Amino acid sequence: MKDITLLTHLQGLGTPPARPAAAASGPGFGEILADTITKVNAAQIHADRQVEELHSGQAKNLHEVMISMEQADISLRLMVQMRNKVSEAYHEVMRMQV
Amino acid sequence: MSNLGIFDQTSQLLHKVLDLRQQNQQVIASNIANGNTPGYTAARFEFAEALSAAVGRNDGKMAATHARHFPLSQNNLDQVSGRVLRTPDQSGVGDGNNVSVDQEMLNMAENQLLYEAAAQMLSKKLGLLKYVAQDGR
Repeated sequence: MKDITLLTHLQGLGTPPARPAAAASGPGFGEILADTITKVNAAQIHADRQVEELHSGQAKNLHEVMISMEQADISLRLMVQMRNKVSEAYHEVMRMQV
Repeated sequence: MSNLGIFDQTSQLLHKVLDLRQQNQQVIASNIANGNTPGYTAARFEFAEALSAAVGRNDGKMAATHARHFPLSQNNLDQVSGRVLRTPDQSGVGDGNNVSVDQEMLNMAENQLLYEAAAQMLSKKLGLLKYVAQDGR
């Protein structure tokens, strides 16, 4: 049986019980960012390679080349917007009153 | 192109492809124009192999095994130039003119399509660079 005195309540309101630090599950933000950048770069390289193949006569599939260029385009745009968000968040924190 | 180092090899390649396709257009047009000239031999403009050697993707082709060997092909994109090939009519029938106007129209359509594709790809690549240079605005 719990005793319900004022003291225990006050203690409960104080510092929260120290929990064991939640084990970091999954990759951290930095890893995700690095992974994304690698993938975006790979998309660019793939698109470039396909352009080379098309124009040196080794591939005849124009649609695939256009699709991979478009994918590379979109992934780079997404990455630039992510970078803008991060930079915006940094400035927000920097302006914060302490 | 510029020496700022932000324009990659693919941009240069596309630049070159536009030049070469334009020359190809002229060759095809002169074939069509000479469709009725007796004794005229149709010309072909070939550049795909030179281009593929210049971008270093000559899989299965001859390779120099020593740095000081004479180069087997131009390895610089700026130096790539196509060559005009003519194979004279061997059939001995007719007036010696071997232009097939239908075939030339087909070649012209293909050339035009790939020219437009290259123009669009170059525009996309440069647009992307512009986008990044402007902070994504």
